[in-house]
Amino acid sequence: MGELLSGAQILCRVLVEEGVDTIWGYPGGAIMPFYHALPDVPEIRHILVRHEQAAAHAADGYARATGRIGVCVATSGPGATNLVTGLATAQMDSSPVVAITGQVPRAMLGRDAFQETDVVGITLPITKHSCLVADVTELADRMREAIAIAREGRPGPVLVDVPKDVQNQKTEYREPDPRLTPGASPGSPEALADPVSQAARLIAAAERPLLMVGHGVILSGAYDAVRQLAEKTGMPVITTLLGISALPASHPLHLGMPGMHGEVHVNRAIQRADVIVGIGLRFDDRVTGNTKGFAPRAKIVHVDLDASEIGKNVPVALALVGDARSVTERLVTAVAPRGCEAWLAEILGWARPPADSYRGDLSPDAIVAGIHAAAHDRCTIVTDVGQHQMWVAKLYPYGRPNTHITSGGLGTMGFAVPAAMGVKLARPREDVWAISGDGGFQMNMQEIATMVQERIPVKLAVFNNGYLGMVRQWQQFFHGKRYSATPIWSPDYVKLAAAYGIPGWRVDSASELEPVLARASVAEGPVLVEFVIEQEANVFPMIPPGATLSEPIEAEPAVGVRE
Amino acid sequence: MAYALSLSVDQDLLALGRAVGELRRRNLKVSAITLGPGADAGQARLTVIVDADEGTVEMAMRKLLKVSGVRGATREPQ
Ligand SMILES: Cc1ncc(C[n+]2csc(CCOP(=O)(O)OP(=O)(O)O)c2C)c(N)n1
Repeated sequence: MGELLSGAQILCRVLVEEGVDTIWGYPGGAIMPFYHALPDVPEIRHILVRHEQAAAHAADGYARATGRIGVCVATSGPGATNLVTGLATAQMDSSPVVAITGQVPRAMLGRDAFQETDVVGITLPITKHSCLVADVTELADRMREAIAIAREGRPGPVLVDVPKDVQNQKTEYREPDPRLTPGASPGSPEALADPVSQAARLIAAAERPLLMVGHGVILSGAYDAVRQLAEKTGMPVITTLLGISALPASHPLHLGMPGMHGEVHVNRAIQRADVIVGIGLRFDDRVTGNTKGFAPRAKIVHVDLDASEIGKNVPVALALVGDARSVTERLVTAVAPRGCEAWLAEILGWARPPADSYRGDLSPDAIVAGIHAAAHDRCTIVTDVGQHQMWVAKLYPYGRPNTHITSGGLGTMGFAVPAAMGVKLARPREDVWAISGDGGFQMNMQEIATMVQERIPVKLAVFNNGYLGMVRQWQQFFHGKRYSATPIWSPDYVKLAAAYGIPGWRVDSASELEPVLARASVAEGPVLVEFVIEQEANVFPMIPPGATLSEPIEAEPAVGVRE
Repeated sequence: MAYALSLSVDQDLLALGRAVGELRRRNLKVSAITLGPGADAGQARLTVIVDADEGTVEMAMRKLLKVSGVRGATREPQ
């Protein structure tokens, strides 16, 4: 006979079984039995956040940095609904977040009980899997199943909703059944043999081939394979926003980011290419621009674990469904060595110095270079969403894999600060910078309190331009400069830092960068650095929404001065 | 063009909700939907008649096959 455990104890036990050491959450009525059980489980460190959204983002950051699951916990009703943005973020970026929510007791279900919401219903389209467990004897297996689903194949978030009375019920605890291991992933070696050799032939015959790599390369750890494929064939490499850091920016074949804010020569390379080998990316609309005019000359070879991505956004000549790493490794073996020197030289010949939209001396370039210099590449950068996100993506010279973490698919403002907490706990020995705009920072800046209470020494950077910058840029370019609801006031960030008891600095000029960043770097706890930047600086180039990659805006349409 | 999608789905409302939700979010035109017993215990057969072009139906099928609780899916032009 197994041990008699409560549902709450079973939840803890399964988490420990699965190797979970950190969880993020916030208590409340319907999850109290779980919180009652938690102090008896020393293996698990619980981090009390200040808002459940932050718990989901922190779990997501932890998952992205470790490749393991990230766990968040909330009570029913408002606690559960506060997780929603974080789960949707994780779903869009294929991150294995496991959410545990308390629910009202079974007898109250469907009666609009206090703090009852149908969270399984609410999160149905933004989770990979979700369930309400109404029978304590099934709880352990349902939890294990949910965790397995979060991890296997293309990762994604799951939610397990547990009524309060089920958390309190006792049952005999059973060890995991070894037969219940997740099924095999698609793309068996036999099925792939043919497409791999076809792909190799396409690459051999191409005059202007390109490699485009996305998040799948990071999720599967295909860095070495991608680098070998590039070096063996000479194919220049483009990294999508979530593929950044898959190849060091200093690599001679590294071109940079494509799409809406991609450099002109990168997008032009796509438009001229005759073969594009896309690995672990989904050709999302921010990458392709108007798909009707995307890569008009290219045959696309698409490597993806998820068969439903093949041909979803762009027509594909050849599909290789399988894990990015194993497929790429096979490609490396199959391709004949070749070079693309003339093609690479042609692409680099199109590169031009960035349009200078910057008037002051504290340019985004200078700030990014300053952070890089202070961190000595021993650092992971977590960005928020907006102009600063694009500047950092384009300018930071990422050297090591998976050191750039951002909300890509959902574009969730408020992500950086809480996600960076998760990244920092996963990587205690390196600097973790959360870089936000003044808008996104104010969405989740309450989490500084969590960092102080739990001693999570994240370095916070705020690019303060006094605007919701990216939206203001769109208003400038496409809405006749009507700055409707984009000017945004900020508190005094240095005083804010002081109120939380952490060091804070304001940097207004380039000359202050070095000394302030040096001090920020050596500080032990969390720090906050505000960079006061040009209010109306823009991100160039820009492909207007609906246009093709061949139609970039490369300079200020009209110089505007705000009254 | 009308297609009959035939799905083998876990016999619970959650799995059914997910499968139908996958069609709903695509804004597909559905003219009939029926649920009956499936081939295996614990499985139901969900049949949906949708009016859409071949490519749209193909993409929907691939997404449906990923849905947690959907065990199989076939389609036939009507
Ligand atoms: C939660 C959320 N709300 C709204 C948006 C729309 N949006 C995208 S970028 C942006 C402006 C961001 O401003 P800020 O955080 O100051 O960064 P900046 O662009 O100035 O660098 C907004 C409002 C979003 N992406 N996420």
